Amino acid sequence: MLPASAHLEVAVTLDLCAPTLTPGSHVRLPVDGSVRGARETALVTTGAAAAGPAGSGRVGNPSPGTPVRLTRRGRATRGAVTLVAGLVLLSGTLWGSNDHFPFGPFTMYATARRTDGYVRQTRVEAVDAAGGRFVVGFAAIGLRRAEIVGQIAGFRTEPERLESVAAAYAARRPEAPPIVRIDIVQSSHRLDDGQPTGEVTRDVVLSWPEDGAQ
Amino acid sequence: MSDALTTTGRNGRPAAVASAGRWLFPAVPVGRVAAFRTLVYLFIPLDLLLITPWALWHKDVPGELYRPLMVGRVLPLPVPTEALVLGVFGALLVTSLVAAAGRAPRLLGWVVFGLYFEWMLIAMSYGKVDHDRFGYLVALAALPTAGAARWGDPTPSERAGWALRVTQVAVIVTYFFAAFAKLRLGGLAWLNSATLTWAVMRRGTAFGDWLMDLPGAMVAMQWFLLTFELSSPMVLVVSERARRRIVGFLYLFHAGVYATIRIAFWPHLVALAAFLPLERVRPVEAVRARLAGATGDGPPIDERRQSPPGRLR
Repeated sequence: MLPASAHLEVAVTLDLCAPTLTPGSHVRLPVDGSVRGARETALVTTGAAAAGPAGSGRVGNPSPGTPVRLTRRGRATRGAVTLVAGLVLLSGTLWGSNDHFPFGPFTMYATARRTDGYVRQTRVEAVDAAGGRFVVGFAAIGLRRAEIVGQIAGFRTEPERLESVAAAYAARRPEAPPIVRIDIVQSSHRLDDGQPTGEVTRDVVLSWPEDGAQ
Repeated sequence: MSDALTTTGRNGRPAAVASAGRWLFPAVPVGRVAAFRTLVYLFIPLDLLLITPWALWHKDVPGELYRPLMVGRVLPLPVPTEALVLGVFGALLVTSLVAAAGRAPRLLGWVVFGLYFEWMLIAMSYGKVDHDRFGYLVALAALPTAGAARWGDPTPSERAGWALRVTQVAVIVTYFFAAFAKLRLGGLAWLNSATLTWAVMRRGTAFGDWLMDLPGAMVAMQWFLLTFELSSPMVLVVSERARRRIVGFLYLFHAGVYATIRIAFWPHLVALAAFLPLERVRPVEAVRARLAGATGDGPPIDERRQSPPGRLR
C-alpha cells in the first residue's frame, strides 16, 4: 500500500463518453489501465482528487477514496491463477473433449457438415397405454433434444436405459397414461450442393421395448 | 515510451512486466465491479426460471441417465436426485438475490459460485454440454476476489480491475478458442461446409430460411465467422473507444445469430458487459432522485437538464 502522501500515476483514457471531471467530492474517473488505450496521463494525488463519497470505506482500504492497489502477493496469486487457467483451457481446446467442462473445447457448430450429405433431426415418439402414438415434447421427458442425441450411443449398448425415459415421463406427466413404447426417430433431409433438396426419409433408430413391433 | 514505462515500472522491473501488470491489474472504478456484480448475480434467477428452465427438468430424470462429467466423477459429486436438484435451485435463488445486493461479497460470492457450478454439472451431465458460459463462470469465480464494492464509488481499484479483466479475457477467448475448435474438428473444410445450412435447417427462423436461400450466403457467413473469431483478441488491446465499439458490434452479432437460429449465449452476453462503464448506470439513484424531486426536497436541478425555453412544464 502506498503512503498517503504518494502520487499515483493513473492512465486515463479520455473519450467522448467520459463524464467531465467536476469539483467536489463526487469525482468520476474513467480509469483504464491499458497502456495502449491511454492517450493522456493524469497525475492524481492519492486521497484528494480521487476521493469518493463519504463513508465509502472498504475492507482493506483504510482511507475512503484511496485507490486500492494490490499487494505483491495479491498480484502474484492472481497472475498465477490467470496463467494456469489459461493453460488448462488451451490444452482443453487442443486435446480435450466436452467431458472436461468447463475447460473443454468450444465446439459449437465446429464440425464440417457435407454439402451433399444429410441434415438429421431427432425426435422421440411414444405409444401410451391407451394405444395412442404421439411425438413426445422434450419437457415431458425432462431431456432436451441434444441430450437424447447425446444418449443414443448409451441407449444402443444398454437399451433398458430407454425405460428410464419412460420413467421420467411418468414422473413429469403423472396424470397422463403411461408410455409403453418409445421410438427414437430421425428424419434425414438430403442436401445437394449445400441446399436442401426437399427429400426426407424417416428412420426409427432405436426402440423400447426392443422386440416391439414397429 | 518504453523509457517512461521503465521509470514508472514498480520495483525496477522491466518495462514489459510492468506493462503486462498494468494491463492485467488496471485500476477501474469500484462502482463498476459493484454494478457488474449486481448484474451477474441478478442473472441467476432469470437463468433458473427463464433462460435454462430445462436444467430443473433433470430432477425427474432417473439417475441411470446421469452421465457425470470429469469434474463430477473426480470430486465425486452425488447423482442428482429430486431433493438435490430442488435444494440447489432454491439455495441459488436465495443466495444470488442477496449477493446481488452486494452483501457479504466474498462469502456469498464463493457460495454462489459453488452452487452455480454444481447447477451447471446438473445441467450438462445428461448428454449435452453447452458452451455459452465460460466467461460467466469466470466472472462468478473472480467477483468474490474484488471484495466489498459500493455502487457508484469512483475510487480506482486494481482488485476490481483484475476481476473485470479476467472476465473480459474469458469472454474473448470463447470466440478465439472456438475458432481453434472449428479448425481442430472441422479443419479448413469447415469454411465451405454445410454447417450453417445444417444449423438453420434444424433451428432456423424465417430470417434464417431467407438467408439460406441467398446463394453463397451461408458459406460467406462461415468465412466471416472464422475470421472474426480469429481476430477477436484484438478487442483486448485496442483503445477504450474502439473497444466499446467492438463490444457494441459483438452484441449486434449475437442479435443476428439469435434472429437466424434462435440461439443466444445469454450468460456470455452478461459477462460481455464487463467491458462497459457500468458504474455510470445508477438505476436506484435515478429512481431516488425522481422520488425526491416529486416531494420537492430533491437536490438542485441541473440547469442544463431543464426544459428548453418556451416549453411549458
